[in-house]
Amino acid sequence: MNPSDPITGTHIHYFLVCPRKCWLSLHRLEQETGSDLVELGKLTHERTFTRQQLREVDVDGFLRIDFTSEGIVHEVKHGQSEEHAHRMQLAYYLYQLRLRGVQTHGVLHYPNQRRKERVELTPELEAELQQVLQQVEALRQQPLPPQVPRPMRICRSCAYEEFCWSENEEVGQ
Amino acid sequence: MKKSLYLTSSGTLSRDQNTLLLELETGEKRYFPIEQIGDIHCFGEASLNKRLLEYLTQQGVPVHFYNYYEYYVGSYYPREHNSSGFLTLKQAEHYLDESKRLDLARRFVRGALQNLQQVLRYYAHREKPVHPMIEGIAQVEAQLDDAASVETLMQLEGQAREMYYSALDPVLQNPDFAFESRSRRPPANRLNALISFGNSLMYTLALSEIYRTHLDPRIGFLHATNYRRFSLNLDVAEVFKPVLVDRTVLTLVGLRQIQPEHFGEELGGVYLNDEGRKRFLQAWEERLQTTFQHRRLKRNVSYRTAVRLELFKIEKHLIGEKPYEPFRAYW
Repeated sequence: MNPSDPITGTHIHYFLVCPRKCWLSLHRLEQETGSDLVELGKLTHERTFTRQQLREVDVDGFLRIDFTSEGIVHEVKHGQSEEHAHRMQLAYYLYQLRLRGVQTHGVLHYPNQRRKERVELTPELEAELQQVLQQVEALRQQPLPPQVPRPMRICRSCAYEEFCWSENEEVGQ
Repeated sequence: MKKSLYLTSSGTLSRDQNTLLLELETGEKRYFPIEQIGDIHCFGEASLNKRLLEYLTQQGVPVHFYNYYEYYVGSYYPREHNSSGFLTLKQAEHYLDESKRLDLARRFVRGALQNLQQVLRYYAHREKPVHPMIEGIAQVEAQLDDAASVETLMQLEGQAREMYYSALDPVLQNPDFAFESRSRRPPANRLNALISFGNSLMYTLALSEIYRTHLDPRIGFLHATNYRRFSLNLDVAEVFKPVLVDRTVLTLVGLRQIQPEHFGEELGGVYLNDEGRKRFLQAWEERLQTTFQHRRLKRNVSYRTAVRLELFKIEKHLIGEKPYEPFRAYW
């Protein structure tokens, strides 16, 4: 673990989906290769909003914004099942931009569902974000990844599934 | 699931736009979608260029090379795309700390010995006279806990392997494929040639799967790291060799799918010829794609996936989350 690694938007997203996934990602134990869903997500990113000029905007090397247009931050997502986590990820970008003197709002895009949602950094959302940031920081300090007692429904679609549940035991023998 | 590409004939391998192109010496062109390829094994003469290597790096596809006698020559192991400094330090720590290294090495040997016994039990059920060998390996296994050094563990593993090999003749009862004793470089007879070839494939399989994890293949625990060669793949291979290599060999010979005519003799050694090698590779790939019910994932996983899962278990051992329990076949 590199203690100076900044928390990214992805970490915020992961934390709200599964703290274990967030810990593993904070320790660079990513499982991005070989998952079909990850590949589909990448395709959504690559094949939508291709006419936007400012794509993959990199702020200080750790905020990777999908694209900006007319001063608005846009985040593209493949599926909408983790909507609140997506909203918080975007809120984090807005928060970090405000720290740098940029006041703006964002839009979440679900091109596959032909849907979008406007996200403002409201005081409520910001308060929630601050809480999450503290929790992520505390999580990072933990020597071991948090345990998940048994596979959850979301594990099925998670690229970390094989890592987390690789042991072949317990049931019967 | 990604598959291995085995190139047994000679030709030129290149990138053609966004796909892989093989041009055979006959002029025939074959295209392979890169997304479906996990690794490439070159047995024939292959010409390739840097542009291709760049493409393979971008796609994360390792290439393994074998010489005319089916010996492993080396690998093109693309730049790490998946590394975690945190895990690399943990892996090094487990190598440098004598007791941690011994613990892991013992786990590998225990896994290997249990799977050796399992293979023999399979043949015992088929009324082959192998009970004494199973007993013998069990006795060696009982000594593992007292082994105070990695060298002792290696010796014990060697003893168990010898007992296991002494079961091959009673299992096969085939004079064309007598085992006699283990011989490599060169293999002195057909059975040894099959085992050597299978072991090479097992080592590269483990290496390819390591590439897809965060582990550093240069730091092994049972097989000493010598800073230049891959060794973690050898450790992992020990656990799977009985179930993957030996069972493939015994099945091919037992079902007479490999015959004496599939071998040639050269430089005092016995080697598979083109047809024999093709048959072996086909059986090997079928074995890797065979699935079994994984109790935890609650779905069928292939043996190839099982090798990768094994590496994840090792990662979890290294970060201190869960002690590594080797893969064990219960069938």
